[in-house]
This record gives sequence, structure tokens and C-alpha cells, in this order.
Amino acid sequence: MAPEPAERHTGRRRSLLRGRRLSVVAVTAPIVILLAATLTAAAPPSTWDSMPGAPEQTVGESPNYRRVSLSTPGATIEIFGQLEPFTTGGITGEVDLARPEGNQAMVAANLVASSDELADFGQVYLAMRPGTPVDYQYDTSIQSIIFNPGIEFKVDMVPGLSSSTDFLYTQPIRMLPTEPVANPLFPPYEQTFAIPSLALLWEGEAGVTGSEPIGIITEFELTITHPG
Amino acid sequence: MRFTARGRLLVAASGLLAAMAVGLPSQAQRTPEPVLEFATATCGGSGELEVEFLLTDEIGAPAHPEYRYIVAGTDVQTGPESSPWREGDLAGTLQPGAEVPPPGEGSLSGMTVVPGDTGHVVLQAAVDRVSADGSRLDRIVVQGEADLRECAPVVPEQAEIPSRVWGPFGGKRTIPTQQEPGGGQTTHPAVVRIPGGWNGYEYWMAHTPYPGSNSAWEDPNIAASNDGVNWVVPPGLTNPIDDQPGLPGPYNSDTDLEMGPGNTMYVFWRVVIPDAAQERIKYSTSTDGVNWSAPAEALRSSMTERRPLSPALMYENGRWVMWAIEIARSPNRMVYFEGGATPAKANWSPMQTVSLGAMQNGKEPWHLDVTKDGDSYIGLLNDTAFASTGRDGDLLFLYGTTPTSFESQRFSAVPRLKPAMHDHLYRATVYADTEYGVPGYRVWYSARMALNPDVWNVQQTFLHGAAVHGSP
Repeated sequence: MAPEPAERHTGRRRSLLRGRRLSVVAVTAPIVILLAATLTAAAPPSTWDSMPGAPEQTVGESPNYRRVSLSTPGATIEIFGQLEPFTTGGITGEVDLARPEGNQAMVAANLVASSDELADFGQVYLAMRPGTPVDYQYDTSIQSIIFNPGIEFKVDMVPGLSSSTDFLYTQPIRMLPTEPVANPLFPPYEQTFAIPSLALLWEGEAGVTGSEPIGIITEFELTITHPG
Repeated sequence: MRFTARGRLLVAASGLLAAMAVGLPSQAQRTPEPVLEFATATCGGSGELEVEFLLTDEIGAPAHPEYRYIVAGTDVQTGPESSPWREGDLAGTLQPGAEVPPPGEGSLSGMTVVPGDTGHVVLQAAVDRVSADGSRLDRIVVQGEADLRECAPVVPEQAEIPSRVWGPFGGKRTIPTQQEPGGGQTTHPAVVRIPGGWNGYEYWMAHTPYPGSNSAWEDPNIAASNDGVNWVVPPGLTNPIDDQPGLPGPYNSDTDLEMGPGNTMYVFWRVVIPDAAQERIKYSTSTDGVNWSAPAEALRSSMTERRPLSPALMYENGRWVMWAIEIARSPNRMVYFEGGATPAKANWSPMQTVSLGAMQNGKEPWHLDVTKDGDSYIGLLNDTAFASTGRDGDLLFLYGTTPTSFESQRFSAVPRLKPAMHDHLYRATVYADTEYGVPGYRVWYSARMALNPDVWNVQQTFLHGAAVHGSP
């Protein structure tokens, strides 16, 4: 049997594979803590407005956090092996946006959205991909919306694939304003954000994906419309 | 379990002496030196221990941009103190010439494989302190050691279960890749063993690096070994054999390696060209393992019509034959082609469906390796959750007496879960062999930890139960 070295390596072990996981944890832990601190310190509970006796000004006390409504004409998706692109159709919903002090990048959480029409994928629901945020580095001084660890598309069907595949996942996504402004306001109402390049799409379940992508999101933009 | 980092003790002792001699301020100003620490020892099913050490700066050591630490060499001593030292020959990043990462930025990892009854192992590393201009300032020797509990092999007779071929999860193998020459994340291993050696090595492997499931690196690589454990890139060879940009552009995948006629080695792989909705099986040949021919095409398919992935080829009776997993229509199925004297694309017969019997519930075929064992065909079939691309993969042992009809075991020959190493099994490579004089099957398999992004690795194990099918 092997020895029991756990007490020795927990703090310093950085072999190639485990080092990668540790570095992911090391880098993401502060992000998670920062995000959690931002959300817990600044975010009102979603039912705050309806709570009896809740002071109205609490919303104004959270300048770096808002739950907002969003609208998107949908994502255009190419499935490998299929000649024509497909669309999810229009989608509306809500998402939490947190902007850490001094940053222009906004971190998204608690995404809830659904399609307004039945298109190529049937009924589509959007959510954050299950799992912990990953090591995803970006310029925080540029206005953007970060979906980390990614977006989950729950669909009725994937054209060309078995109908039992009903969850599609992106990896972390960064969406940039289609019309950047010099001094962005928060929340960015009436602003539209889009993926700057193609995003790979993976089938999976509970946030665990297959081994290789099954398609690409070629177009995906959303507009922050009004308070959530 | 007892562990002492002798190097650290020496450093501390010398620092204490210095402090006593000239006062505590000099202790505070001493030059921080790296330490060599025992990390883990993993007992493999074959009775070997993989012992890993880490060379790193001391915890809390200040940054030292004015000099660097470079590994000059390593030596290993196993057994009692009177045992001779031998050259380290470690797997991993702890190699001569490697630079110790700056404080707080990681460590060098070196793994040595020792017999299971070793008891005590000491690793010694000579490290040069080199100034910014490249001149060597001094050399220090650091040491780490560990007492090891005995690691007993799985005894084949005990492992043998009637009508079952199985083995323990494997030992991780460090495979050099074009992305990480010291050993990186890779998959799709295909191993050929040539008894007596071929161009200096007995074992040859084709594989595709896939760090973090990034298809930009997923190109055919070649590695070689004389023991199947320690793998190198043959001198003179530059990997990859073919380079594609990766998604959303064309990408490579699915290597296979075979010996063909004329003492020539063939490497096969799959190319996907999403924009053209095409897939191709390509191949390249070599007679020395170093110089490989320009890629040629063995098969071309329209993705809407046919998508044979994970090709497994064999040169048999003067012609090439090929198995693959056809995924264009659900459920996936194993298929078979007969070819000509060369793998050129004009030679292939129409695709035939291979009988596999029942699959595991909710599973379908995904990747494949097939080889010959006497007059029989054996293989390892990697399955996947239905309608997925390699989720919850297991490795099923295949056996057949004809190339188009196999029996498939409905359970995994290797455990899917290896803690902290893999939770999904992937493409494997297999051939009949003996271990401790008992017949079985030598296997290298790839696997991943499903994270975001994934982590990939290659493991080696031995499957027992050959008597079931009367292997050599």
C-alpha cells in the first residue's frame, strides 16, 4: 500500500496536472470571494422590495450591483456536420450584474431567461453553467459582461443530434458593448453587448461536458433593458 | 509514515550556526535556497511505487530577480543508506537545465518509479545559483527522502475472475508533447511494441496533446520508450507530424500507430474541417521514426453522410483493414473497411457494420482500438453516455474471431474513477502480453478529469483474465 502523504503535500503540491487545478483554485478563490462579498454586502435579496418595512433607499445603496432585465434576439449556432446555421429565437430574462469597485467589467450571476418563441432548438432556457468560476483573465478596465464559468442552454432538441442531448454549455464568455462609450454607466441600461468572436459549444449535463465541442455560437448579443 | 526534508534541516542548521557566530541579522540576510520535498507515492496495480518530489523555493522566500536556480542534475538512492546512488532519470519537469520557478510561482515536479518493496527513497538534486548575466555563482545540493510502505502487486491468480477481463486503474505516464516537452496533457494513445526494438526503441506511441481540451494542440505527436514507462521524443524528431489550427478551424484528433510492410511505421489520424463539413483520415509513414512523410489521405467523408472517428487500422494478409466508430447517425456503431496494399483512399471497400452485442445501458460506442491476438481479434472499446461526446466513458474489452463480429463485455475493464486523476475514460491501446509470467493485456489508456477546462492524462495498466480467451 502507498504511504499517507496528504499532510505533506496539501500546501505545496504543484505537479503539472494538480498544479493546474490548484492554480485555478488559487486564482478563482479571490474572484469568488470578491464576488460573494460584493453580492452579499451590496445585493438586496430578490424579494427585498416586497418585504414589509424594507427601506426604499437600500437599492440606491448598491451602486455596484443590480438585477437587470435582458433581451436578446437569440444565438445563432452552427452544429458540426450540419450545413445550415440554427437559431434559438428571441430570449428574455434577468441576470445579476456586479461591478467591483474601480472596474468596468461586470460579473454576471443568477441568469434566468427563456425563449419567447419555439425555434430550431424548441423551448430554450438560459442559466449560468453549473460549477465554480474558473481561471479566466480579462481586462477589468474595459466595459464587459463576464459569464463565468459559462452559459447553459437547456433546449428541447439539438438539430442533427439525438433529442436526449438537452444541455449545451459555453466555456467562460466575455461580452463587449457593441457601441462602447467613454464613461459607461452602471447599470448599462439600453446598452447592447455581444460576443466578440466565435464561442465553442459543448453538450453535457449538470455542467459536465463531453470531450469535444459539438458546435459554435457565431452570433450572440443581448441588451440590458431595464431593472429586474 | 515518516518524512524528513534533510535539505531543509541542513539549511536551518547552517543558518542557526551562522546566527550564533555573527548574530541574528546575518540569519535574516541569508540567501534563501530551494528545498526538495517528498510529495506523494502512489501504489500501482503492478506493484510499483510512483514517488514524486517537488523542488521549490522555501515558503515565504523573498523574490530574487538578481539570480535564478537551475537544476544541474538529480540522483536517487533506494533502500538502505549503503545503497548506491543512481542517476535520477525522473519523469516530469524536474530535469537538468530546468529553472526553479520564482518564489510563490510553483515548483518543479519529478517522479521516479521504484519497486514496491523499496522501503526508503532519497532524492538528491544539484542546483546551480546563476546570476542574471548567466554566470554560475555557486552550487548547492538539496535532498528529500521518504519512508514508504510496501506496495504489493495485484497477483494475477487472485485477479483472475472467470469470464472477466479487468485490471486496476493505471499509473500515470509522463508523455512529452509539442506544447509541454517535459510532459503534458494528451490523449488518443496508440502504442506499438516491436520486440528487439526499432530504430533504438522498443515502444512507440502516437498521441494528440489536448491541454484543457484545446483543439489547437490536438495534432499527431510521436514518442518512444524502451520500457513503456519513460517516454521521450526520439532525437531529431520535431512534433507534431501535422499541424492544424484547431476549432473553429480545422483540427486533428484520433491517432493510431501501426507497423506496415517494408519495416515502415504508419501513423494515422482524423482531420475535421468544419467549414467544408468534411472529415478525413490521414496518414504519414517513416522508416526511422524521425523523418515522416508528407500527410496522405486514407479516407474522405462528408460529415452529413459519414463520420468515421477513432480509426483503428491493421496490416493483415497483404492489405490494410480499418475499424472505426461511425457517428453520423445515432446511435453510434462500430464499422469495418477492407483496403488495399496501401491505405490510400481509393482502396477502401464500402463500410460494414460490426456486430458488438448489447452495450451498457444508456451507452454507445465512442473510441476504439483493435489488434490481433493469435487468430483472434481483441480490442478496447471506449463508450460514451448516449448522444454525448465522451461523457462517462468506460473501456470495454472486445473479443472476436472475425473482424465483423465481436463480443463486448458489459462492464469497464478499468475503473472509471481514479481519485484526483480521472473520472471519464477515453481512447486506449492494447496488446496481449504477460506479466509475472501470466498472460493478460498491456494497456495504455487516456482519461480526463472533467473540469472547466478539462485535464487529460495517459495511464498504463495490465488487464488480467487472458485465460478467458486463451491468450499466449
